Amino acid sequence: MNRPRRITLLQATAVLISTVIGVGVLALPRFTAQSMDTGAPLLTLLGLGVGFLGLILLTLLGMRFPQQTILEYSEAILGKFLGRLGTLILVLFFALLTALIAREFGQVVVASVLRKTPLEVTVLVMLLLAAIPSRNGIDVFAYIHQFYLPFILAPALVIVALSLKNADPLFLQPILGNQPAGMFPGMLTVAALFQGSFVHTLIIPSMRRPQKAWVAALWGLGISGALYVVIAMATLSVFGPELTKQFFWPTLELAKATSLPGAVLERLDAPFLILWVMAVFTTLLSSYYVTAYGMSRLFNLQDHRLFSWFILPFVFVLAMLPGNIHVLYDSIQWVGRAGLVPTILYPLLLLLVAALRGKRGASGGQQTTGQSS
Amino acid sequence: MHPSGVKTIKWFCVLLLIAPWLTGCWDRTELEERGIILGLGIDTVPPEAAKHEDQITETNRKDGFPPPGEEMIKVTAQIAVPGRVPLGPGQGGGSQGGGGQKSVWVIQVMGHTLDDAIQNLQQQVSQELYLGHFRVVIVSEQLEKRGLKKTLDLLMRDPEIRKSSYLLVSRSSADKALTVAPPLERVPTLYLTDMMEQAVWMGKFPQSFIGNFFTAYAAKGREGYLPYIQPKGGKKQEFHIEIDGIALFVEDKMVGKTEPLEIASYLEIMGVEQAGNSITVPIPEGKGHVRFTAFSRETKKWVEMKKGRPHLKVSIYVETEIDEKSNLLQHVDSTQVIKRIDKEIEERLEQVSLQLVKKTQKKGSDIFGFGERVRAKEPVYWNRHIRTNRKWRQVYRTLPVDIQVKHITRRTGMRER
Repeated sequence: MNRPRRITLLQATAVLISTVIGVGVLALPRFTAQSMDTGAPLLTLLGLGVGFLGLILLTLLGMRFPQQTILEYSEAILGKFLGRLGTLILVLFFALLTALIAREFGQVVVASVLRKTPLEVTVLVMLLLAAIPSRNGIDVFAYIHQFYLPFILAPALVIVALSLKNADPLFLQPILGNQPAGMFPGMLTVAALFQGSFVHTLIIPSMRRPQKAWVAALWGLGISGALYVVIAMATLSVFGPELTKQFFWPTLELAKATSLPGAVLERLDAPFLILWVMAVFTTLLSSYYVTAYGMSRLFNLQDHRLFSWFILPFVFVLAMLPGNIHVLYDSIQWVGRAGLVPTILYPLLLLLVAALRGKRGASGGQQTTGQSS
Repeated sequence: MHPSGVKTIKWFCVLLLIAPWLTGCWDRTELEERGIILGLGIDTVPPEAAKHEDQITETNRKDGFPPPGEEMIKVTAQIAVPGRVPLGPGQGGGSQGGGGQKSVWVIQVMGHTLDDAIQNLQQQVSQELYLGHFRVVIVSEQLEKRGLKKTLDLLMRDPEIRKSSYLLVSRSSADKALTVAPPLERVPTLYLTDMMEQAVWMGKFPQSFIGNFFTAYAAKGREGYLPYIQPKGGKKQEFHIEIDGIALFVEDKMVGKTEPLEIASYLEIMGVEQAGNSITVPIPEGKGHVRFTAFSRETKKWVEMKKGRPHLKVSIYVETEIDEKSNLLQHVDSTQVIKRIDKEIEERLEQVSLQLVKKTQKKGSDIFGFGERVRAKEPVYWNRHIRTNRKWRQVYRTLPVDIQVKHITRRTGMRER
């Protein structure tokens, strides 16, 4: 099928950045410090490397099949049945991911600001917020991301810059960590934070120049990854590894401990949370969009709008399953690590098989072979 | 159905959809309904007082919710009275009388833990108690020596509490220290925070928010410290507060305190750039004394490994200004004299600083964070020999420390000699 090619390189990059930066920002310093104490920034960098691997595979595939998304060319590569199976797994995974993002958001809000508001309400409102714009086409989707990008990057950078005055560089040394207990699992957990970048596959077929998709991937993950590393460094250098391990959301504590000069605002957690809602929204929108779009591919339908509403109750119920915050974070960790199979290994498999079978999608404005009229 | 009927139903549905969004916020709290706690004072109570505690959060029966079995504490809370707390300088002049127009309500309760006490307090107060604006917790020295555990957890866990509040150790009872209300400021706790902030700004005290204490408390190679205050003045109404040193901690227990001048040594070793302490030195080979006030300092710290043992090295650089000279006839006007004085100060500063380090070593309380430096710079040694807080405390007691001071007299005021 022919898609309008209207998404610019900047938009594609913006989608990646604002998708990747999301709920994970708050807890990242905690679990990196838990697995590698002072080596947390390095661990973040390693995790970024793993996440980047997945995105590169996806981008290579996308450039090979510039007309289609992974949900479509997988059938061309693996055959109808296996391709559909892969799509099903991806859809299930992204539904779960969406649910966990919404739930983590709700958990933070209930614990820190709106303590009397029922968790269900916060989660449902957030899911509704994602469901409504996900009914739009990919152009509007990209515009939304582009619009919110500055609101996502700026506050994090401001807080990091302001927190520097309380920073102690000793807390960042040795850069390998004193007792790097769980470097490998920690790396996978960090890599899981970059899973949202999977949305790139939906963007490529609508890009003006899909052959430039790798530039967007490079910049998108580069900028968001750099932000993650900087946040890990700032939090660690202010609180030290031991205290960072004790907070559920060290980044939020960092905002709380940071004040605007001149005592204008003595704690920045409130403004930070407000802007963080935007970051969560864009992340949630992306994974919601992938889920809804995946559903439409699964049932071979042109339009994904129907599923925007259809998946809402399922995602909501999934989000409500974890009993408390510890169960929640355990599931986030396990779902995140397991999710590396569909988001990294699956594209790898596809790329290998495509190369072996010599499959290649049509380029330019030509009609592609295969399914979907 | 009639087309307008359909329209009506449509509109009705829209209204139904809108309604839930207009009911407002779950967490709405009116200002008047909030009991804003500005400060807390925590004291020990004699054991017999436990019998008088209200059974708000626990039962007497063992199979119910028995009290945690810890010693009781007495909590003094200062609650802001709505409308009386001055919001700016414009309202300041209003009432000097004090008596009838108190800006805060002071109320005391007992409890086993801080939260227990606050819940007990809630039972006696109509408004919902709110901790988001509280600025100062004063804990009496006696209680600090028993350990702060029961206080710290709530302060770390509660999302509303700011990490930039102050935790102070008071020599006498905390409830007394909390109510210090000089005419300079109408809200007592705000006076206390101002006092701390000014001291930090003038370079007379290290920054010591609750958050700083938590960081040091959690770190493996470092111990926390808190400001130590002492009420001054005799009569009940007119006493005020003096910053009297640094309270040394081992984990959550206070183990000692420094002398007031040792705060300066601490700042020097920590390399806090803002300096504001004064010292007096006898003029070598002369008569009388010269007083100096420091205005800038810089410190380098490093660890040297000698025979598999870390040696702690500190190099301090202080710049000062002459404040006062006690003997008008004695001239301090030549490079030689000033050099001699510099030398004299350097030796004395080295002595005083070393004394402070020795003191903390004796208590096993590494408030300087030397251990963090060893952990960061000599990870091999740390991972093999130290690893834990407890081990570092033992090792810290025996480590050699070397302090070097370089002093430079930069300014002499308006007098030439």
